[in-house]
Amino acid sequence: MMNWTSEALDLFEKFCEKRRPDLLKAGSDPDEVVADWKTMLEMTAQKRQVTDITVEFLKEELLDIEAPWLLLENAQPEPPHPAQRIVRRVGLTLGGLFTLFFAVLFPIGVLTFELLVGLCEAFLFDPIPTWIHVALIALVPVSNAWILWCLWRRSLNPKRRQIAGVLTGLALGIAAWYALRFILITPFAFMAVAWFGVGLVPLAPLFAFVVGLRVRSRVRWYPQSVPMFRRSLPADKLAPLWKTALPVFLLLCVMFIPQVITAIYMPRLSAPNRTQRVQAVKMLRTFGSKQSLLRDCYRADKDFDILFIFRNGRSFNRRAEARAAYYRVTGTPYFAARYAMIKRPFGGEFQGGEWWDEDLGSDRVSSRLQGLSIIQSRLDGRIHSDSGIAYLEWTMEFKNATWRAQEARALIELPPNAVVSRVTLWINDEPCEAAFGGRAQTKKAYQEVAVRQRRDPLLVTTAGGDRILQQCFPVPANGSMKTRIGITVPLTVYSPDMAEGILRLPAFVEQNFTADADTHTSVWIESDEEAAYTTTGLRIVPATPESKSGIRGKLIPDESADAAIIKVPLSVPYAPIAATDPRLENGHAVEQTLLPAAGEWPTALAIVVDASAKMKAYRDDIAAILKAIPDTTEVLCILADDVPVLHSGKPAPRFFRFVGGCDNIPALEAAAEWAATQHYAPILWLHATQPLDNISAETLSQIFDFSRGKLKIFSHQFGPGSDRVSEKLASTRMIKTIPVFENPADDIAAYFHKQGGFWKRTLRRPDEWPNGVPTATGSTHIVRLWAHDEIAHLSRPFQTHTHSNAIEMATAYQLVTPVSGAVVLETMAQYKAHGLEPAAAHTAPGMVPEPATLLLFLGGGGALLAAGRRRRKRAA
Amino acid sequence: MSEHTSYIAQWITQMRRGWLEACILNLLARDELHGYGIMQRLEDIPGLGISEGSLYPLLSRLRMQGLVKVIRMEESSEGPARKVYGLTPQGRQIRTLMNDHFELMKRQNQIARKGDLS
Repeated sequence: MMNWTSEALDLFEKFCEKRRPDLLKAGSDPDEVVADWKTMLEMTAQKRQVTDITVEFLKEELLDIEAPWLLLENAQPEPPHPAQRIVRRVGLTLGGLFTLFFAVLFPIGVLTFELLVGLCEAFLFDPIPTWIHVALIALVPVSNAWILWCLWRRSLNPKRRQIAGVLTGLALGIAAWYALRFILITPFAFMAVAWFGVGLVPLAPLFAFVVGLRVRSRVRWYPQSVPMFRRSLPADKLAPLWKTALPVFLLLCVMFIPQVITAIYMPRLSAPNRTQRVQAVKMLRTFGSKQSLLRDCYRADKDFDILFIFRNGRSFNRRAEARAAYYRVTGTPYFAARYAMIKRPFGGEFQGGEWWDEDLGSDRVSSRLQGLSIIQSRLDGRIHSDSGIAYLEWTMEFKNATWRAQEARALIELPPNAVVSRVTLWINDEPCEAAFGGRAQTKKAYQEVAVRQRRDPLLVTTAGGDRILQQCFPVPANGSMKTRIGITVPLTVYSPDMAEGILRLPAFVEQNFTADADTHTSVWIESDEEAAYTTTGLRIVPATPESKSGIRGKLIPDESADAAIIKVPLSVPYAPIAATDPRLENGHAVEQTLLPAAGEWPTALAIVVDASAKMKAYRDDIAAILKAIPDTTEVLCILADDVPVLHSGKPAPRFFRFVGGCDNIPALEAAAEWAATQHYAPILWLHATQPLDNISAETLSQIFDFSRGKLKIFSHQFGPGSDRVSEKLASTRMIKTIPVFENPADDIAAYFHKQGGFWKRTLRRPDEWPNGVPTATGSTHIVRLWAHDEIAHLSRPFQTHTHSNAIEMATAYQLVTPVSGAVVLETMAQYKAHGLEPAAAHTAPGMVPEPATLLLFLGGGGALLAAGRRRRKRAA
Repeated sequence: MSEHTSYIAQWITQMRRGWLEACILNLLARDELHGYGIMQRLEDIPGLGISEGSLYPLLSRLRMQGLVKVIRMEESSEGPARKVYGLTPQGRQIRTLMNDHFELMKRQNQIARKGDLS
């Protein structure tokens, strides 16, 4: 069938109507003649390859039908306005243009703008969290465009009309839904448009809805608007709105339910009633929206949609609530998850990474910062097998590719019982040693110089057992910052014949910078004994001029990588080995002795197992650990779920159910209460990362205080991440990290049941040596390890009067301990202002061989030289 | 001058009206034709061009008067199906009468102009 434009049809109808009386008078059948004319016109159109019969075409043809009187009548209208002339040229009325604009052009423009810039996402809510939403919104203008096109071309045949009916229904449902989401902002948007001429964007859905009704009306009355087709087109009813608009509206409502549940239940996580809290967690885990929670973690203050109605008031701390809730629901800290929003090319803020560092200067590592990366990393080391000690220096360089200064923070897991003994920052390409001082003193200096004055400091403090936090600020805009930490490591001697020492290399457990795929930690370690074993990524190389063997390789400087292990045969004599304390007058030496450590499984043991989802991967390890515990040990197993679940004895594997993220404090409290009733019952705490900040460990501290230090928690963390519980309880020393190297079950069993081959390192520095001062043949790091032990002793709980002595000692021996920190400032004036003094470079440990080792090698070299000479002499 | 032109135009129109019917019947006596075909044949005759606006009402009237009939519908590659017209027996008689009358008219005119029929 040939397409007729509505105007052409009108004109033809008019023409025929006027001719009808004449035709009747002339004795013709008007209907027959009209049909013949129509056939003839269509035939002529086809002959001329005209696809549509328009007014212009018809006028030309009607001239041949001898109707000049009609054409003259229509050809002399009032002169149209220039705009109207354009409109008429494209066959649209002003009303049609209005419809075209608000039904098609405006929604497309708004959607494109939101996809590019994300203005609504930034200030109200994210209207297009997924591509499904984009497709649904795009359906409105696209379907409207098609319908208007069909209406304009008069090509809406019955089938197309039915499709158009369905599409208008869908478009109306979608527009209605989004109009509802914007309902709270709509009055303000109208006011803004009226007064300032801006604010149309939030009104787009409302306009699309109103215009959508008009489009649907035109589709509905289409057959009646085309008189020529009245007989040929049955006026079928369109698909009703309850079959089209309502389902899509309800679908969007259903998709929105998780957000509503999240809005309702998230505040209840901090309800005083525990039952309410537990119910809220369950609801959020089951029905809540993780994406919504994650968005709140960053943008809790930037939302204004109908969710506002469901929230019980507006919490001033909703961002913190959301962050805690996200962990509780998913078991993953918010900063470790990626907010899967549609990336806007011109959008700002946290697109692709946290942009604004809220934790600047704090002791939280938090999110990875955009543009901040580690570009160089090298780990140098020397293993003194005669002393069973290693010294490592980890040099890192951070690059900031953004236009604003950023702070690089890293939580580093040290080797077991290791201590940071050197901290260096490069300022103007010159290495500057740190000043050691009290923890609070160094932190304050860092805060003032770094955060307020934005100068060049570096701070290193402890963060729970065997962990340090390194923070440096500012890594300048488009610049870099280079740091170094020196670590004195007592090798873990863990073999029946004391033949082998284990060195676990330091590793990141949390970092706020990224490491590119081609960035590696280059490892270069010299050993005065031939290394026996290394983990993947490292290799053993033959003797070098300075050592008997070397360990080389490349490691990934990322929290996801496991710490590397090196095993070295030890030449530690059973007899004590001594080192001179350079800080005191001649004659003062520290003596180190390694003795077999005795230990048995305790008679009672409380095991607290974190029920967080991240522990699911370690189910087998937990089973192996439980299996290793002898039956003679009375076991209370507590699953640290939302409500701690107690089980007397070793539970079956099905007892463990891991979901979300759990606050382990209530379970630890329950374990501590039980342990307090026993003669001696340590707590074995197996857990994943503990990132919750808003935890209260007061009850635990209280139990510890009343147990007079008897309460011991032995902790092992599976996987990377911070442990805020241990950090919070660091001052009590109640939590001790179990040294785990490769196999947690074996290592934890060996830790308790020490018959397996653990050796204990005893360090002493008596005032008097009855048998004379021993000859110093050991590494000077023995002195640092002794000082580390001594500081721990002086700063133990219930000995507050000796804490200042501990700080003094840590300062003198340049150690980072729970009571002390190390900070590098830029100028001497800054040091003086904070009562600090930077360490002299010559007092800091280094990578050059120590005198004793050098003598040993020189002696060995001399002997080899003499032997060679003898051989040559003999040969001569 | 314009008055004369208008007068002669009206006179020709009146003359054509009757004469066209005779021509259409003559054409259909020779061949069965559709409307467009009739129009083309008429255009080939000098001075007898006719528009669709006139032809179809005329054909309709002739059909109503029983002089022509639609013999069949002819499918066309150029457009919709077209009616093919032919003469009815009554139409053949009328055509003969019309032709006879025209001959008579020619003679009448000749007598009027020259005064005799020779």
